[in-house]
Amino acid sequence: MPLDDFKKEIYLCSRCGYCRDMVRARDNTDHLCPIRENTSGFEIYSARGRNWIARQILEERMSTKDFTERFIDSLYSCLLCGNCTEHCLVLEPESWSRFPNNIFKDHIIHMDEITRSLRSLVVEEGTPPPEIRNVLLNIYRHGNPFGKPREKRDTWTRELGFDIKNATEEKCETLLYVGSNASYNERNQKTARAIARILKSANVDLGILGTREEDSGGEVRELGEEGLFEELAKRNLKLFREHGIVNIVCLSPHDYNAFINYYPELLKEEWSRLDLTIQHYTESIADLLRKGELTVKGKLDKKVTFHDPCYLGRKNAIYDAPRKMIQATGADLIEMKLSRSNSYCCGGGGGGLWYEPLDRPKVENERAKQALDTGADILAVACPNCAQMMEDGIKAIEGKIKVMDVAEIVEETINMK
Amino acid sequence: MNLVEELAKIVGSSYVSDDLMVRWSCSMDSCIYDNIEPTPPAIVVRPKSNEEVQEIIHLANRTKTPVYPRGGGTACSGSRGNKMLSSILIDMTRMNNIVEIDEESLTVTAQAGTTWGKLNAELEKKGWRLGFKGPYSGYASTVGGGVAYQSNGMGSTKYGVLAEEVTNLTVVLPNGDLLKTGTAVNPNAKRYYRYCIGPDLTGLFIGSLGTLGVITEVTIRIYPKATHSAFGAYAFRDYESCQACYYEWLKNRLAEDLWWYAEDGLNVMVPELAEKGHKSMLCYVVEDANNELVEASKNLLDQIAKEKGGEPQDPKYSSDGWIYKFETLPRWVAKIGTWQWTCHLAPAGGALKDLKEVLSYINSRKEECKSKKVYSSTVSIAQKNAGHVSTSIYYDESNPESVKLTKEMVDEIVKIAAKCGGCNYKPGKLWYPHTIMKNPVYRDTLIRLKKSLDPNNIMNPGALTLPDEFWEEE
Repeated sequence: MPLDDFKKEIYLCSRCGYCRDMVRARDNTDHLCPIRENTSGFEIYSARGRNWIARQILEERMSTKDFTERFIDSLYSCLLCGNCTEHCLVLEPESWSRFPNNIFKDHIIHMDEITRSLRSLVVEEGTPPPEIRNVLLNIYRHGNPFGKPREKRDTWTRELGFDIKNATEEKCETLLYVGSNASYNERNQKTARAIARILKSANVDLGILGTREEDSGGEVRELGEEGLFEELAKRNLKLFREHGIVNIVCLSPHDYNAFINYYPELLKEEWSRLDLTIQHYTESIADLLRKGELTVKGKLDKKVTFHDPCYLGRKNAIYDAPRKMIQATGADLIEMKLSRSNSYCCGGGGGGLWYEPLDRPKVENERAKQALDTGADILAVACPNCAQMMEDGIKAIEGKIKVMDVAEIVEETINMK
Repeated sequence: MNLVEELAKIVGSSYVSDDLMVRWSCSMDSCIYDNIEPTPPAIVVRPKSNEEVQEIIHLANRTKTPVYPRGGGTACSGSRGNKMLSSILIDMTRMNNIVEIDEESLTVTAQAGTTWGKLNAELEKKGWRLGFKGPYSGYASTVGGGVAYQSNGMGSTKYGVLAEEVTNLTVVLPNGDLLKTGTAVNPNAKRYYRYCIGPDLTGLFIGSLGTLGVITEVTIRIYPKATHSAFGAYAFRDYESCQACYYEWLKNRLAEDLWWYAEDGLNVMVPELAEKGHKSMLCYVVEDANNELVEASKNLLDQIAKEKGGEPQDPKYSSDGWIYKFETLPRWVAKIGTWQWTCHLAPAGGALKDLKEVLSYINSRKEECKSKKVYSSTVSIAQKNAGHVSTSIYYDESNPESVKLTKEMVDEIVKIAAKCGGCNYKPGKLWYPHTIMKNPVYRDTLIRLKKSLDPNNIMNPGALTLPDEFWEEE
């Protein structure tokens, strides 16, 4: 969406600064912007500052030609974690009756979307940082951000222990949309296998798109490359239509978010006509556990803390499903001080997985410390980006806590061979 | 001399910038004056300690560079001077530590860049509370900014404006010296009392808008955390009985906070009451660590309200504003547009006169407001022996006609208030023509003070109507 489309939101920002500094006792709100507090902290490292710059562009006091390296850094340092939007008090009047229990979509000023729109101006200008340019080029050329060969997209299935259907060759009830990260990243391939095994043990008729799977483009859009995102969205639409896909289980919250929020906005009726049921795997597995179609063997005698992924929690209000999975294992679930809608980003959202900001904020180390403070044995995650970042963070601070995906935790306890 | 390089030697290269966008992102605050014509500073610097601020001021003096200290950047009456383009803007928000909660002295000392939200939350954890809890922008505005700007806000009914709760300040003077006020003048003494030693130098910096120094630490009184509270709301069918109740409530000093919605406020905020023919509504908040005191206070306030003809309403009208303090105004923005305040003080028993004059003016612009989607909400919030009368004008900042009308109305309301005998507490461009500029003796005294403390006129020159350059006046 061009910046003009955010005009109403930009002008509704009354510069109260709550997106930057809110500390609120009643619900433990603290550390609101992980980037502002871990960088030089200039106003451009906050949503309020960037909104103000956006307004100067709308009023033609500035143009994209004025964008400096520091400003571009502030745009790509932002993790698009949405904590600023979540705490903005400019709420849809219709949602006031829900106050103070508003959901993400009740907030009128989408700070993260305004930042994303400013990024698209940077891409149009041809000046994104080199790491970001490489990621976009890799996706354009190879279909994944790592620049790995397309034919290796399904190598994660080799150690699966059973044959999984290829949805492009035979019908399946449910498609596991693995996404680029878990297709190629060794750590997250384990999560993909755990999910596939859990779903198989519950007799889900499961398939994958294998080497024909396309990147969802969610993160491409977040990096500001609207054109490439559109191309990828159209390819996925065609693929799902061609192969009669009806149910999709997403591994990554980023892909889930793209299908749920970005695709309908871009593809409109074409997308809605597919009538897809799209779930994040935590929802699918929590459902199977609830219905008794998946049984858990024994009790996991561990203390587990759960890190809410921003794109699952704040942006899509899925907070309970991963917790239900943990509780089903009998583990002792301990909450971090910053959890659910107040969760602190792992540092891997909005391009954080790839971009090395000028001030090197190391958000993952801060979140790792917060997890350690709980005294838990396991730090559970439900997103491949979070898994990578939290492992890095724990390693950096030499913490004694094991990072596991909730699917890996459940896999350890289910009744399966 | 390269100022950025010199400042980097003081604060580290990460915390100083003359980047165009960094500068422009600090070109605003919340005042209509500064948003119509935003002006960026020359350099932004973010110090961490008193010593760093002292060195910055030394450097500014050596180079005769103007300095503008900034807290949360939420000022709404025009606090900026006239030299912003060539100024070093000192962003105080990195100085955000709570220095000490001193239970023996019943005070808390915080660095100037600490937000009210953080201060309230930290005190609550330790079983304490503030009397003056912070201005309405409290989650982002800072304690130092509050002092420099002379804030009022939550709790002002019982405890007065922030100034009345401040016991000590630490200030970097324009020559770079570090001044400690109140009991801290004795190097062996704690910071716990203001009126001692000699003249009240603490007061000199309250409302000074950074023209006389940089406030770096603030000491404020604390009270035991409130464990009990009570809320009340009463609607009135005429202004006179409402004023009588307001005055009686205020006189007995039982309420932690009490406020009065006038008719235009009711129309916007509580239309269901306006539809029933009510002209205004009064709300009170009582809280304490002792339930008997809370109950007794509530009973007395309720009794007074009923005697004066108030009709009891859902106490939620009152409790929502208090429990979700600092959260009300941004929500209204969503419904009716961003806001600009007027704000002035009137005698507690005479607030009605001001209210009526202001409302009559607003009524005269009713049709224009309707066509340009400009809304108003007039309230009076009690402050000890005064009523703080404020009209919030809500408007569409993207519509130049709406902005123009709002600015006209704000200027006119301030003019009316000044004529009625009202006075601003927050200093700023909105009020200068009606107060400081009308009183040459006051202004001349300010200028003399400024000259003696800041001979190079580096501190926020032009603010408070002080000259940009001294020689212009001589």
